[in-house]
Amino acid sequence: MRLRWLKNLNPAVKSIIVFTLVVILFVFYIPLAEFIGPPLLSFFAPFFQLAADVSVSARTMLQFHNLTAGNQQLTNEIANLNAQLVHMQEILRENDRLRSLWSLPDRSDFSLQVALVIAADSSNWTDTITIDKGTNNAIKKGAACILENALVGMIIEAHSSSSKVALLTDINAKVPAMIQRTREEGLVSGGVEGRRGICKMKYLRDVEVGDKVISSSLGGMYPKGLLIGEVTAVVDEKSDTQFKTVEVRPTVELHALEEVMVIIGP
Amino acid sequence: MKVRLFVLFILALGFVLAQSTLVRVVTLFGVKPDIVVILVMFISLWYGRINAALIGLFCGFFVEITSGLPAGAALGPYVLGGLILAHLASVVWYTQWYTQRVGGQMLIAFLFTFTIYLFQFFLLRPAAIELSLLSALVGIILPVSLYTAGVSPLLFYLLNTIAAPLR
Repeated sequence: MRLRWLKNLNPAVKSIIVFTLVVILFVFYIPLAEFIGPPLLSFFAPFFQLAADVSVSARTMLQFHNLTAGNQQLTNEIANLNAQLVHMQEILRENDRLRSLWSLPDRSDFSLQVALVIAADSSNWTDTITIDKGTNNAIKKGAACILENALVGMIIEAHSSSSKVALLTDINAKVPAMIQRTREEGLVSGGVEGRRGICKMKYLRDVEVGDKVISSSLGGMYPKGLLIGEVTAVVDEKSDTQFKTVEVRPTVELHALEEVMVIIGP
Repeated sequence: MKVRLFVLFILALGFVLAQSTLVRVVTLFGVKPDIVVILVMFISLWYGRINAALIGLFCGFFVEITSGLPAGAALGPYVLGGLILAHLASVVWYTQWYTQRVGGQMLIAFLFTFTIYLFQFFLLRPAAIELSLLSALVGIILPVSLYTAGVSPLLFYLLNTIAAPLR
């Protein structure tokens, strides 16, 4: 056999050869991974889609007993929301009338692209999801992802037919935000607590439990005014500087996402 | 060799796909068991150094493209951890103890997952500024190690069946 000489080598020499190969592998790995990774991820997208379908079916079966109660609750909610909708439509018409009276320009909505979540993060460290839309659908790196006007995360990798989204709870997530009541600005970050679906916001002076947190346009990363979450607890309060660190629970249940909307234009 | 490469490639792909889709269903307190680590551990214990390095390579690469981890943060610990475990398995004589006893499998799964995650912590530490060792230990490393150890006997049984072509 051609590799017989390898088997007869001294174990120490074998270990040195393996170690050298591992070092060489690491040196060339990063550029190679960046080159091969994106097309491979697009290639695997249908497999992810299939596995995601199985996963959703499994979850549905596990939660079957909750579906009847959930259905009743949703029916009641729809009735309430319909009543609210009529009221909102009245306000919208009034707003339009007032805008025309004051000659204000129309406020444009975002252009959105709906995408299905096909995979969650395979690691326990980071908190990302993979969606089934990419650059073919005008999605670009850095675009914000929302669900029902609440912020979900940001596109960190955009490939032809799939993209990766870093959620608000990701270990490296830093979202410029403000407290809606006081307009005080800060950064919402993920971290280890992100695993439990909780974010943190630091260096705040005037903040209370129950305050709404919204995105700020600082840094130009996210559109202003998107709902991020609600302050659920003050976890640290420095008496000398009066700075507070608070826990923010995201509005969207990030670990049960099935679809998101990507902002692809103004 | 070609069959071995193919089987390892398919095993790695299947486990990473399952990790990022099916395992999401059994998330507890934001933590899910790491079945990819169990695959690397299984191959390293039973199939020698070359297979350990190959499975670490495939799994590491697939995990990195399906997660937010930087290049090398999964591949490095998997390959090195797998190689060290395969070496230890070849020199330690009481192999029967962990191949036949559920308790032994769970203990090794816990220790291996703990080591891999601790290694990953030190690789991620420079990039993730707010990640302290204590919060990582309490919030991620220990819960994941325990959870992974808990599901390891079931996966060992499954792997014993499907990895037969490698023998």
